[in-house]
Amino acid sequence: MEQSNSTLTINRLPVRTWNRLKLNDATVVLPDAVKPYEYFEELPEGVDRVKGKSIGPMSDIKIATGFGDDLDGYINDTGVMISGYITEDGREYDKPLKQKYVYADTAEGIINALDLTISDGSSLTVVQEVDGHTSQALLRNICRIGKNASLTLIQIQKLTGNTEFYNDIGVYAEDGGEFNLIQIILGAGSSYYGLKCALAGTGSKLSTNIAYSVDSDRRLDMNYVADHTGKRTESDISVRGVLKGNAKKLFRGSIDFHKGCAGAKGSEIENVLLIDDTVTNQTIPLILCDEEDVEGAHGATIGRIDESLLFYMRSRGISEEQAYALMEQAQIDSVINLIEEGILEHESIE
Amino acid sequence: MKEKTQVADIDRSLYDFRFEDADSYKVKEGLTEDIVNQISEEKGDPEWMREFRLRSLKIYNETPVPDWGPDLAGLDMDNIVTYVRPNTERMHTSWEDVPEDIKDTFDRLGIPQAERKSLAGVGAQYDSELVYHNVKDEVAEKGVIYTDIESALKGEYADMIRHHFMKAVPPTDHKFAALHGAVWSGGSFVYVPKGVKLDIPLQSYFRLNAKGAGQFEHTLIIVDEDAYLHFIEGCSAPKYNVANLHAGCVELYVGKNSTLRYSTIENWSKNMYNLNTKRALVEEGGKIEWVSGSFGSHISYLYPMSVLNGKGARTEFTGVTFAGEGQNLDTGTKVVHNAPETSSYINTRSISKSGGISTFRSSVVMNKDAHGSRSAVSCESLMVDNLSRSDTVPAMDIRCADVDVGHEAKIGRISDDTVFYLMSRGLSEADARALIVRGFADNVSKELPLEYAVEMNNLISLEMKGSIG
Repeated sequence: MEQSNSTLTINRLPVRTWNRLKLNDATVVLPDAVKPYEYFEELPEGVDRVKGKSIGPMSDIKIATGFGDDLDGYINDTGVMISGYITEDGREYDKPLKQKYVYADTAEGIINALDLTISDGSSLTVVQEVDGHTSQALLRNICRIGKNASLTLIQIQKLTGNTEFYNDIGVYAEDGGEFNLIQIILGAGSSYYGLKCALAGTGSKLSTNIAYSVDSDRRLDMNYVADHTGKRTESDISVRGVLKGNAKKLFRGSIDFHKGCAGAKGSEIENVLLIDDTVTNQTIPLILCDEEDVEGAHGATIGRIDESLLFYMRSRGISEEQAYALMEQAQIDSVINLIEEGILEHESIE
Repeated sequence: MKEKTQVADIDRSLYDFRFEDADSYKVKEGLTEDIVNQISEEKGDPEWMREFRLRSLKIYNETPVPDWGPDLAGLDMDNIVTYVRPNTERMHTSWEDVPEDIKDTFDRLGIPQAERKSLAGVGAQYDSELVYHNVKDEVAEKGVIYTDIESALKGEYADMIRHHFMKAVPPTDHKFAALHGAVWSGGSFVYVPKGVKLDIPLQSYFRLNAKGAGQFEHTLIIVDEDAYLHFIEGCSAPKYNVANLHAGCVELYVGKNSTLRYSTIENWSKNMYNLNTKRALVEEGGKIEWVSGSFGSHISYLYPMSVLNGKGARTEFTGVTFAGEGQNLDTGTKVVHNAPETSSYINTRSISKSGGISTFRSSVVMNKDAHGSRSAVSCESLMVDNLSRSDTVPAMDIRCADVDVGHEAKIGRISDDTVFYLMSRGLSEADARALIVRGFADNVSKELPLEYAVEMNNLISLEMKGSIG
């Protein structure tokens, strides 16, 4: 029997630009026949897991993701069961919630849809490692962050072969809520990453530190949106990466200041090291501003190693080839080093 | 609690005067093959141009309206008159021969005075026709050609025009480039011969007087090798309660080791849809310098583009956009690096006030052959009040590793501390804010000839003039 598929438009820019640049969105085809993957999990004591629904006082809030509405509809249509998690009020968890997804080749699509509620005053680290090989896999996290609560989400992706990987996140943060995202993107044939973070509560914060390495014929398509609606909210989107071979990468980053977010601050920066002339790097960092009393900034540096740095390294006896190898590693290490010691197993990233 | 300033809308009395166009010749409203044929006949086009116009009309009808920029729903081509010939027998070379009302228009805009004082030549367009064109003898003696493009199309430069006309901006580029190809009328042709460096500028001024009309002038400039030209373009119109349309086209060819500076102070009335297209093709070692001030229009789509085709070709874009009440100004620039060691430097400021929307939009593309090229983009936006909106949408597409691309953008408000400091030195709050905004826009004013910098600063002062509330 022929497999049926759904064609979706995901990773839409909040404001479109010239169509001929092909940056406005991504069109993808996902299978209608899907199943959840039974991942390995270490659940800290005091974190509740409920199958089939989101739980807690924020469960009715509709949360948008970086991929957008098309994906939401698709997940609903597949009937895949949501896994809900909730922390206890005011509790700071010493141990992270760890999940491992080691895919084994399958003809069916894989979907895991998680709903994480970080209750008021609590803090939790969630580590998700994705490895192995399959045709198509999708991981979606909906994160509800309560008052003065904090969630650190660490995602490490080391998929092999031609796996198509879809990683989508939607966040809603109440007063004083904080969302910290660390992503290390190292594998997969084609990867799509999305994040939309609604900074709705006064003083809520978003911080992202993302590192990617894309080589050979691999593709990476990203869309990160910080939606400032609350007063004195802050966002800091930091992305760095390396492109080699025929790699193609598209980074969309948006800071969206909505009317009423007085005192908000947002910044985003991307640093891309280009190794080969055959790479394609596309970057579009947006600032959208509907509020006067804000500060927004973005920057991008794209290209080869700075001549003066290269000269310095040569003067220390390091060849150009070695210098590039060092800088490639440094791009990734600078983000890995942000992960607290002991959270990852020793062999997680090599 | 933070103090708020209520700022008045611009006093446009300098530009907002009009004359009846009862004596002029017009085509019917709308856009049909008959109308395009009628314009072509009126112009006495060569056959290739008539065919070109009809081909462009077909492309126009097949091309969708842009879905990514400001809303164009208020622009109905069925209500736009695409050709209005003023009540004069073509072009004159003396202001004395220009009909009184038209001469009076340009007198009020200060064009003849500027010509006497600081320009090497002037072209003045009124609605769809050039009404005045003149170039100083000493400039003509150097072999510089500065004439209306329609005469050039039929005279000794006919082959040159045909070779270059809408080659940099083909009608397939976008819907309004196709519209231009179909109904273009008026505009200037400049040719600067090899080795000639003009140390004083040429200027064209475009005035759209007729209600509900469109202006579609074509500017074609060819600067040969080792030459220099500064070309200034100005535009304005009186305000009507119906939409007017400007869909001009500027094509610039910058030869080997030449420099062309193209300065524009655009101050169309606030019922104008300004859908203008400007593009420069730059050869080896050549340089295009864009200086662009956008103050007028109801809606603007304006992105001068530089295509750096020769090794070592350069572009600099310096722009300021000031969006006030009822304005949605989508401006910026595009650069394509097609050759090694090319460079682009983009520096823009945008200001939004009284509900105005300002968008900075750019693209920097570095293709496979752009080894050793550099690009630096800097854009800053200032929100003067809480009614307005400001977006930045910069895109970069890099397909060559051996390059250096940098981008930075900032957005924010006028600092209370700076206003307080200036007020402590004796300035009123309104004056302090106006001074800060003028300083913010000085990236453009310092690049303009003095007379134009003064005009721009006056425009900003008028925009910022108001009372403290």
